[in-house]
Amino acid sequence: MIRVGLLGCAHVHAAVYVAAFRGAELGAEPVAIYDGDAARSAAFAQANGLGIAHDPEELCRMVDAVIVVAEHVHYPELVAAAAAAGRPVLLEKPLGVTTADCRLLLSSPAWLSVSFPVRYAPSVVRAKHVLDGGELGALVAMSGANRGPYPGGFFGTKSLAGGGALIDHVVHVADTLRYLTGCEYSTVYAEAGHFREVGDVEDCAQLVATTTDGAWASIDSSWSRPPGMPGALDFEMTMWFERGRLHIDGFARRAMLVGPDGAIAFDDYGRGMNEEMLADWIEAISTGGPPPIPAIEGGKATALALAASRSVETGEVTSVRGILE
Amino acid sequence: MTSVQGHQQSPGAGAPLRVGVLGGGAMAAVHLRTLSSSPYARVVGVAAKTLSTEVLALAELVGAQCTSVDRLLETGGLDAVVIATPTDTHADFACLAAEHHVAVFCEKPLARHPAEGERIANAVAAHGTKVAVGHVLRYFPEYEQARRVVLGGKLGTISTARMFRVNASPATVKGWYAEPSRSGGLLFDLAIHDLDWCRWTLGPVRRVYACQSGESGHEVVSVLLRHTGGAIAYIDASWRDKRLQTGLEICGTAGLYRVGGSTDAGFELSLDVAGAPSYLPGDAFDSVRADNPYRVELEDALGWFAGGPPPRSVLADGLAALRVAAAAEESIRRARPIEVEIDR
Repeated sequence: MIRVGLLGCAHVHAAVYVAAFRGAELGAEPVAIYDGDAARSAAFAQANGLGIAHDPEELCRMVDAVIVVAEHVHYPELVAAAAAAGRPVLLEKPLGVTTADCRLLLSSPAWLSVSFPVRYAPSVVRAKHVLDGGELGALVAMSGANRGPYPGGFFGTKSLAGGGALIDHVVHVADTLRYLTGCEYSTVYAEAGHFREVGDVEDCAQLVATTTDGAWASIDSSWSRPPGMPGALDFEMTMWFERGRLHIDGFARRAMLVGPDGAIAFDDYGRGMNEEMLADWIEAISTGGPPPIPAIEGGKATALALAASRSVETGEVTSVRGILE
Repeated sequence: MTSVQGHQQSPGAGAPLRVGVLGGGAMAAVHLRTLSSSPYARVVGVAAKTLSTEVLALAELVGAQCTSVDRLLETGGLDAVVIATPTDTHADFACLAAEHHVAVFCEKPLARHPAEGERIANAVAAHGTKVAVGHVLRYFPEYEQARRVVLGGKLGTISTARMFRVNASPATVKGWYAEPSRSGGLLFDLAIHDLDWCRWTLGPVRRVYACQSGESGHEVVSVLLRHTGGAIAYIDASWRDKRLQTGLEICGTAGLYRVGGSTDAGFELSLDVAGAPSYLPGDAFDSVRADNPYRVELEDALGWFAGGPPPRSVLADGLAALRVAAAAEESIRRARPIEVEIDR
């Protein structure tokens, strides 16, 4: 049984990962947490039955592997601590929120896998099979959306999150398209706005990128959904190829559950994409294999988000390939 | 503006308008079907280089003569023409009609280029005639309702609008659609529906960015609009699909409105027979419905020609939509965002 520690719990996925480990037999058990905010750390530890570490080094001594789920800006220092202790890392996306952070993480000696659970969604797994078969031909265009409600917490604070809807949600679609088709992004243009009264970051954003093969790829990463909306978080991609079209809904495995008052909720069924990703990560650690999703994969997807943010600042079409050079 | 629940204005209490139809293809047939059952119009002539068998049959049904455009206009006695010819011919025919003091219902897009649209505007101003433009989406019930929800403030401040419109390629049936110089392609022929609706509902457009890929006649376009009021609108359009599918989602600070297309709402048919793809919405074949968008838009225009209030889309609207489409075309060509110069 691999002992897993959490470096940070500010990210909403901290509780999601703990629940995934507890709800499925993944060969690992979350045992401890470190968070820079002592009160938050204690509350999270108590709620989830975890031990408390007082610094990242102590956490690394208590566990076999770590998941970095802190505020985005803390990723480099936490990954550095894990690398120094020789602990394998699962790093929450994005890879970093500045080009400097990205470069630091790309050159980290840590055994590091990036958290892109969508690669494990059943529809994406099937799409990968179909596309590897080659019958669809080259990509012509892709329109993607990964929308949700305003996530709250540190996500709306630029000094902790590094940015808003572009930093949070672009990378999932950006990575999945690269994963499925092998494309690389060439340029990007984006429009973004801050429409809500909370936070100091963009809460709605739409980008249109081009690939090095002449296709276009667009992503709506807006936090535009009303809080409490059933199925508010979505993940959809429509892809046109030379010889056909493919549509993917990453969250299609859910039923509608109606309560006695008529209230509608969505009820997910089957093994979730987080469980699949964690199982793959744990297996790689157990067998001494390479990281399932290496840092460079996170870097390529994050480069699109960072270039889109720069496009919003400058109002110009921005080179994606140049962003990390 | 006319009522949103279909027109309530009878198109003129007097005699039916004498209408000529220019064009012999799919849209000419759609409008002939409406005219054939409308008490407000009498079709006196149909003019086109080539007439489909369907248009020929409809012309015979309504007792209209088949002739040339020049002869149709010069014979005189016309109150209005419906222009449903290839896009690059709209401007010449619309100007010719204005010179003959004949009102025009012009299929969208108004013309291939904004300069041609301005030529029409000058002719119309010089001769004091009227031009309605067939931005039929303004008459589709779900888009009409979406606009009402937005303008009613139910969604708060609008942040984003996301539209899609995918279809089979009409170029497999009519080759001119695949010629950008004639049709303007997918952007001017299909995406312009949503460009117009976004302008109509979310206000003037400040900036446009667009990308296009795929071979002519089978292209896919992506259009990103920034409205003067701040809203971000995004449109996907495709001529690489099997059939027409549409939808929209509007988000605001107070809520969200999402709707699929009304065209096939509640209707799904599978036939075990292969055939040419149809790219027209189902409504186009059912002109007798009281809220059929093609019927209401045309009868609204006829009512205006007969002295009633203007329809939802007139010359200025068609020209403004054309300018946004032209800005998107320039954005595709120059690979950069384009400020829309004139959009009020």
